[in-house]
Amino acid sequence: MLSRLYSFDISRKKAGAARLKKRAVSGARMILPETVLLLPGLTCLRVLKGSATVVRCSPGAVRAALVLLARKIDAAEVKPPMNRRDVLRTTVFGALGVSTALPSLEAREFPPGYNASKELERADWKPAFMDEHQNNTLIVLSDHIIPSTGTPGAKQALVNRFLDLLMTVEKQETQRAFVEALAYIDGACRERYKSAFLYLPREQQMEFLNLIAYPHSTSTWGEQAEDFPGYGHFQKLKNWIVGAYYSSPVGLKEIGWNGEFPHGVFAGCEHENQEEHGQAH
Amino acid sequence: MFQDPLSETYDAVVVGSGATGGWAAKRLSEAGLKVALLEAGRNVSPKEFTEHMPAFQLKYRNMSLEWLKSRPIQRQCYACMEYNYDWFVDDLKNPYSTPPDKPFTWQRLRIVGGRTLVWGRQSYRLSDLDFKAASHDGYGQNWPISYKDLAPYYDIVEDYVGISGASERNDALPDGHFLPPMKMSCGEVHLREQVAKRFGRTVTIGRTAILTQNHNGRQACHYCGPCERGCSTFSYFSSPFTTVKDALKTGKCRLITNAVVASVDMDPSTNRANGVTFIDGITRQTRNVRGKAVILCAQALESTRILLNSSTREHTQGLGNSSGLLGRGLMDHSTGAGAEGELTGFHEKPSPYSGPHRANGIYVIRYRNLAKGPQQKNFIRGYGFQGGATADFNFSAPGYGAAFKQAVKDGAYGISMGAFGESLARNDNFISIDPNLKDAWGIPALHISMTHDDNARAMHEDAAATAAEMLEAAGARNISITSKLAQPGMAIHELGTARMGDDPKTSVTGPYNQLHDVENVFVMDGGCFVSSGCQNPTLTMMALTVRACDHLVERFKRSSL
Repeated sequence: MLSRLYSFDISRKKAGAARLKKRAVSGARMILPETVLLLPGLTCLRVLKGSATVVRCSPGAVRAALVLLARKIDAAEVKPPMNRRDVLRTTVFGALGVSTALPSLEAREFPPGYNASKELERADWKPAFMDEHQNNTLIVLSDHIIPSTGTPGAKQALVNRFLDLLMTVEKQETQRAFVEALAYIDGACRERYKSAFLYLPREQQMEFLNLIAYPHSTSTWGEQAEDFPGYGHFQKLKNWIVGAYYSSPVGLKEIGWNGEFPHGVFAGCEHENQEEHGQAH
Repeated sequence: MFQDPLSETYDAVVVGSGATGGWAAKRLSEAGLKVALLEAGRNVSPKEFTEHMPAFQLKYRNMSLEWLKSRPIQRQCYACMEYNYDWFVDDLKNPYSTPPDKPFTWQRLRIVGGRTLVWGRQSYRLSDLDFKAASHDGYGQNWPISYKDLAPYYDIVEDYVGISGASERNDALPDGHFLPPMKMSCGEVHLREQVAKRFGRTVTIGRTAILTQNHNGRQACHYCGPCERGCSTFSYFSSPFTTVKDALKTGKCRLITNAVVASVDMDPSTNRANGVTFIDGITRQTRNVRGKAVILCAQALESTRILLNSSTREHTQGLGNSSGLLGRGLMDHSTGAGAEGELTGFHEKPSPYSGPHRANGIYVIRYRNLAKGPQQKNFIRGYGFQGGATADFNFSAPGYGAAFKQAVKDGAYGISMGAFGESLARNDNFISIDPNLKDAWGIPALHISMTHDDNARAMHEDAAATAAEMLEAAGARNISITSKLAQPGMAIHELGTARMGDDPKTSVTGPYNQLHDVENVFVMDGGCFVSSGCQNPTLTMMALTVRACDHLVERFKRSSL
């Protein structure tokens, strides 16, 4: 069982705390703001933002805590945390915690500065799902759909890199749809221009996109319409590209991200009468 | 000094720490009672909140369902996402069954605060049109209480929680003690004016448990938007940082986490409960906690499941089931019908990513089958709409290139409304224990059997048609409607299965939420609902809890418990 004993100022007890920490997990580097220390007598010390809480817990809880702490330290030292981390929870050591002391492994926190998109910027990045040709095709295609104008476009947003990552975990049918859409573009261009999309001059690339970028009917007098497959493939790729672009740092700036967390006051309608809401009313 | 919390005998054992459990713990401990507050899940920390975290910081930017393999049911919930999925239950550990042709989506959290962490926050009072619905149209049963019985408790809850909204003096939706309302967009003001003029219906700003000014030590909303990812300023109401915190502050309440309650313990010599049995969620040990009263606030289905799993020699069909009605009368608001379109000619531009974002919309107050007025021929009861009209970035703009990029920024002015309809209490919509299914803690799991009926179907056709006529009246273009009902459970407003009433033959709980069969066991969550109304139910659940707790405190004072 666990219960709260007392709190004290860490700065006054710093030396002692540090020594105890070393004894508990020797050689491990300090991970703040949450560090759990083993004290003699089956007592745990939790250090949190300058104040510490001493709590007492069962031998089982201490063992489990140490195992978890060791895992946490391992993960932190091997590489920057990229995804879900199992961390110690306040459930165990917080003032609210009680008898059933072991933490849930489901708990998840994002440490300060956590930013998965940094991984996409690595100089040695290589596609994991696509081959080089598919990757290069996607870069060119994405830059046609969302070009650099006064503001950066899809290429600068590394849309291809994010979609490559996303595809590695998608369902098979989604992966297939993605690959087929890219293959359709190359197949249609080879038929039409005897060349893959990637190697066409820019004018021909755009000429081709104009054929597939808009709802496309093949119906004519006296004949039934058939589906034109290009539009469907284009729409799928466009949706992926749009999703990846407008969720990237570059894309968020495009829609008004100023680098801060969103906030403000919702002013709403301030018109005196309805005629002023808009031109049409 | 280190007294084992399980060695004590509490005045009350409260099961569940969400909207109602938080209130029960607060109200009882502040009245001086010794309370054990049991939560099946772990504790939650504000450090887990991600409302300010841009999508690119997540590995899959909330675009992949890779994370949700363990949550095939929970992922149907709009609020379950890469940011917060671990707050939701692991479906593989928490199974339930349904008939093959009657799917039911059961969306739930096991964590301190429960669904108040991710709830929609819309907060509406019921009226006597709801409490006395059977008198109005002859269907089902009246509640054993009326609006005037609950009104003072609505006041208490609203004053504490902080509900922003506008008074409308509408009999079908009583006004409350409101904080200043959030503002409407130009399109919404226009809709309100046109709908009032053409149809005499009321479009009001959503009444929501989000603070529009500092209130009870919590800060006003800063309009960042995604409440369901947590709120670092606690500006929307969630129990861990309000009611549960208050309860713990009294020193009278112990929070016991990872306590998966299996059954209520009975003393056969007195026919009274003396505590509950729970499974330690981590060690899987079976434990008991003793109490003079047991208060179930585990969510309608979970509380009834506990009672059904508490059979004894005297109570062979589950505790509190002498009427045979325990588990019967499951309700969930019918939803899915509505209309959407575009408004043109408004000057408003999309709110930039950096805000402000209003996590609220408009509400269309029920206008069918009112106390005074025409009655519909093909359905009883009524529905309300949640909706909105705002400019937003137009990510589905056609074409490609610079023109597309500009079109996204220029935005589109969308208008939409979606219905929530009353769900009739029917005894053939029920839950029972599945004899062949247990959860990861060995506790027998539920079989849920529910469908929406012809009344709901007729109601939703009417809702779709009238939504379209209101959008049309507001000058919307490209209007499309849907009248298809979402599967039961999708409203996440599960109610009933332990309905209250005066007669033990036709109800499970009495007017103060106590079991007719066992006087010291209470169901203080949505399980006690007699009828569903069409209003979002959490505010009513909390008011019922406070009322029942005050009654319980009185009984303790009179020593009749």
